[in-house]
Amino acid sequence: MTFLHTGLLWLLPLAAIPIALHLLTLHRLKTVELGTYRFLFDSYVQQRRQIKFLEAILAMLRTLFLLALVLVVARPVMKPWAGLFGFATGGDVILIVDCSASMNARAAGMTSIDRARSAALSVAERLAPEDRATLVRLTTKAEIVFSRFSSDTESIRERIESLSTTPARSNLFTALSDLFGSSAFRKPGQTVYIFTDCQSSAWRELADQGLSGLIPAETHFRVVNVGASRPLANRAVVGEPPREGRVVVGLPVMLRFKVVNHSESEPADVTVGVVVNEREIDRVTIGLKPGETSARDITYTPREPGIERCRFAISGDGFPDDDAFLFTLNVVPAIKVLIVNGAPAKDPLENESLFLVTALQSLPERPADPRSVPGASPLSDLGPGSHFAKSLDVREITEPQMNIAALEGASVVMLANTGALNQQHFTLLRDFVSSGGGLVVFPGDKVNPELVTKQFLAAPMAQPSQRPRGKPARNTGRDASPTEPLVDVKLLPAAGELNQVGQYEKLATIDFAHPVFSVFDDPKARYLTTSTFLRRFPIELGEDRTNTWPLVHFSNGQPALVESRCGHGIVLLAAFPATAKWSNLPLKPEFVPLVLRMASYVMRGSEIEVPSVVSPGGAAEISVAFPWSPVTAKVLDPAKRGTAVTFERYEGRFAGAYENTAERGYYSVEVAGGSSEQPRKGLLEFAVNLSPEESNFAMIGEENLRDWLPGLDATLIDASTEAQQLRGKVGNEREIWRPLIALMFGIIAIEFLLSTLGGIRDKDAVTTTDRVRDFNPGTWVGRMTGAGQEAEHYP
Amino acid sequence: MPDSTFLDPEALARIGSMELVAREVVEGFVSGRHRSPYHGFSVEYADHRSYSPGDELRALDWKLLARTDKYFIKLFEEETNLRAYILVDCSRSMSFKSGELDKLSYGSYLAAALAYLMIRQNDSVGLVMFDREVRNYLPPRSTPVHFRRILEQLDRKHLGDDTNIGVILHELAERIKRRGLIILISDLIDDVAGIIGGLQHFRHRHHEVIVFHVMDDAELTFPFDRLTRFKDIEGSARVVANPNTLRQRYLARIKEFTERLRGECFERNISYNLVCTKQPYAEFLAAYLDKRARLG
Repeated sequence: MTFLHTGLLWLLPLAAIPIALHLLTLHRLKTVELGTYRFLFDSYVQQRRQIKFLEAILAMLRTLFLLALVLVVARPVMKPWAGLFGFATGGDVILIVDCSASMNARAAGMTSIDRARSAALSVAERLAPEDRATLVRLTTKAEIVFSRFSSDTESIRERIESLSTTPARSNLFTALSDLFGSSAFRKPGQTVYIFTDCQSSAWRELADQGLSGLIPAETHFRVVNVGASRPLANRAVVGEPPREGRVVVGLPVMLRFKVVNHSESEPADVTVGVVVNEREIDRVTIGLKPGETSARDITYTPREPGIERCRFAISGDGFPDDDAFLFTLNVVPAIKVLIVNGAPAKDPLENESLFLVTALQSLPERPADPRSVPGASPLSDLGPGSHFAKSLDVREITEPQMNIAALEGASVVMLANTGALNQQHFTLLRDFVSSGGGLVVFPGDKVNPELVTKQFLAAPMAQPSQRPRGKPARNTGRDASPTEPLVDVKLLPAAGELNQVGQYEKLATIDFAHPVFSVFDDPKARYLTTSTFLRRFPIELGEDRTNTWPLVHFSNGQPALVESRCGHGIVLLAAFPATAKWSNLPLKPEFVPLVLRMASYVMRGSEIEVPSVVSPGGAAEISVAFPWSPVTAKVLDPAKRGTAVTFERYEGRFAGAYENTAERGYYSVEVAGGSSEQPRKGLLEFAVNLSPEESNFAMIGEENLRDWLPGLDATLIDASTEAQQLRGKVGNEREIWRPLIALMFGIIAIEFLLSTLGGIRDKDAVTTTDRVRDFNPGTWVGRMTGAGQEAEHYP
Repeated sequence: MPDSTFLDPEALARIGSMELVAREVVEGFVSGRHRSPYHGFSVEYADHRSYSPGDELRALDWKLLARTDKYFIKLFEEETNLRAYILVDCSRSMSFKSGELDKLSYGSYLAAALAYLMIRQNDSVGLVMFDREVRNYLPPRSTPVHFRRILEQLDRKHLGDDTNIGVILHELAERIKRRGLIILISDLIDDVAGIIGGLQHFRHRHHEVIVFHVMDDAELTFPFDRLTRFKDIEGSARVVANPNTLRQRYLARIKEFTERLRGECFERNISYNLVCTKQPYAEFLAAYLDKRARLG
């Protein structure tokens, strides 16, 4: 408390007047020698304690009255927030404002960030011109907004008022490490204000790791709680990005959300709405106990390709920022698989594409296969995904029907015993592969191996090859020469006789590390090892091959399946047809998952890849297929501010990153590229949500400060909603002379009542009313001092 | 009359025509105005009764015999002299005053007036002044000279120390053999049981006892209203107190004290009279004698 007229406090000794008067009165008391003393004394003894107490109370009240009078005249000023401003001038003051998402929690009409700004302003306004002020915006790291002498008050005010929150959480450990790791701030005697809602997640790393030795000695910490005095009973919804890597039209996608009740004592019934493009597709009500988390899966099947803005939403509470989880579904059309049937036949058993079509259109859930080996992985689990087959748009054409139009939009082409393809077809297929398409070749009796080798497989390519996608580098990393073939092999004339059942080859060496075969690596099941091949095409690998390698060998050491990377595409060349004519592999249960995995492996990658959800403050990785070169992209944030993205070549694609994910909402990625002849444009979206830790308002206490900042002067100041409702806004000062005057009147009243206690002498005695009426201050003073009264003594 | 400060001529004029009539028959040898316990020759005829053999012939009413030719004996009210003892408490507590007169002075005025009245009636009056012990003792006489001596003693204003009324009363009761009138003038600020015991002793000896309980107005009303140092007039005890906080309880105790004395005296057929020094003594005495005369 301070005073406007401090000089008047010199009058405080006047409060001792009643005591002095009392002593004076005692000295000049009238003495009465009473004959009936014994009766008086008996009464006195019975009431002595009460009398003494009453006299003490009266003396105290009178002293208090004078004290209050002096204080009123001196005009006292209450500063309920004095503890906030106790810093010496000429020093360094660091203002750290927590700008994490939880600071948007609202109470009593104000958010925590509003209170933080207000409190920071109050401190800044009290700085002397020679004080140096540093404003730090606290998120996942410390962001120094300014550091200057505090004479520039207007600028400081503007910077403080412009502080805004992010959806990310704050990390105080990182912030303090960055701050005090710098020599500019390693000075003793600084005062650090941290305006925060004291959410424990911000202090987690500090609690785990500490900052011993980093913070200079004699640093004063003032942690100002601008949140609530008690943890907010918050409910939040969080979700996960769709597990499927690619969302395809007609293909069900599993959406998962979790609902959390952060309240420590109150249960909650939470209704979650699943909204796609502003249309609610599902609604679930979940009962939660205090502190409980519950997850649900929702299946959604997109009907049309394009961008779908989705969210999981719950009803609002005190912190609405975590009441919706945003995500996007970039729905692509179905994956087109083109089967070129080199020997169509009406008899299905003669149809060259029968087994391929059947495998590619197999249902994900099948009854238990009686041929499955007990203890082995179910065959249905060996496929690329339970719904992969459903995402395939399988079309079958004949060789003459293969043209640019037929290949348009295809992701995978499978050649089933195509012996009548011409040069033009080969060119089309080479272009198809080099542009990123996938090719699987099953040669059969219709295929002329020499012709196919010369004109197709070994023919030089126009585009250089790239390092294999997802595999350890087999190339030297150099661009391939223009003479690089599609598949650097020679397909030799078929070997083996169909009528020599006893003479057959089996699959011996299988590269189980390869993504196609990894799931068949089951010693119990011994997948693929029982397949027999009566006839096959020997494959001779090129001596200087750089883009081709075998995946499976026959027992005689010859390759049974080779892979080739050419351009941006992948080719799998089998040494056998996909029919039961030359081998029993198509009859094996492994055939279906094998074909599906081969299709999944070689299929054209997404042209543009963007995550569905990005963490706040994290980077959104954008991947664009190489044919889009030269590629440019622009990301629009929720406020429609655009930022260009720079790309670099990486693993056969263009990769870029966008890091300005400071706002919660939907971000649009506009990609443009391609040649002037074939310009390309694409539009995808991703969403940024709150950091999940920001939903939990568990708070720290002052004892935590002492543990985590040992040896430092650390104080927790309560400037929460409740505290400010009680004590006024931070920085507010108020005069209290009115309550003091009320107090004085109260004292007068009590003193008057107490001092008139006692019986009426007799019915003719002066009543209290008469005394009040006849009250004469002079008489009162005279009575107090005993002035004019002589002591009466009797001889 | 001798010149004395205790004989206010005006007061004497008021009470001079009244007579003090003793309530009970006392022994005396001087015929006076009081009924004697014994019937004998007296100045005043009282009544007749039929003669019975053995009655004294001098008591025959010859005139009535002549008129009626019957024998009747005269009955006379033989008035003997009253022997009164005025006991005046001259202890220190009697020195308290809040007005013009202290209690001792007031009591002395009372004693003087009573003495005058009785001597004028040819009654014998004795004076005893006491505190802790008997300070002065004047045996009962009815002469004017004796009255002078009484006044001289009263005039001295001898204030003693504390008192022990009960013991004094017992002592005097033993000392005063002959039945008479005992007038006690005191503030009775002592052990009530002892006082009553002493008075009872007098009654046991068939004395008539009148108590004039003299109290100062301030003692009865406790008018103090400021912080005061109260001191025991008969001792050294003192206390500083706010009278307002003690008044109610003090007055209750005073009332209890006086009521107790009144009740105890009434039970013993002792005349108890509470006298406030605020009331002029003549006025009080006149009222008292008037009441006494009416009561017969």
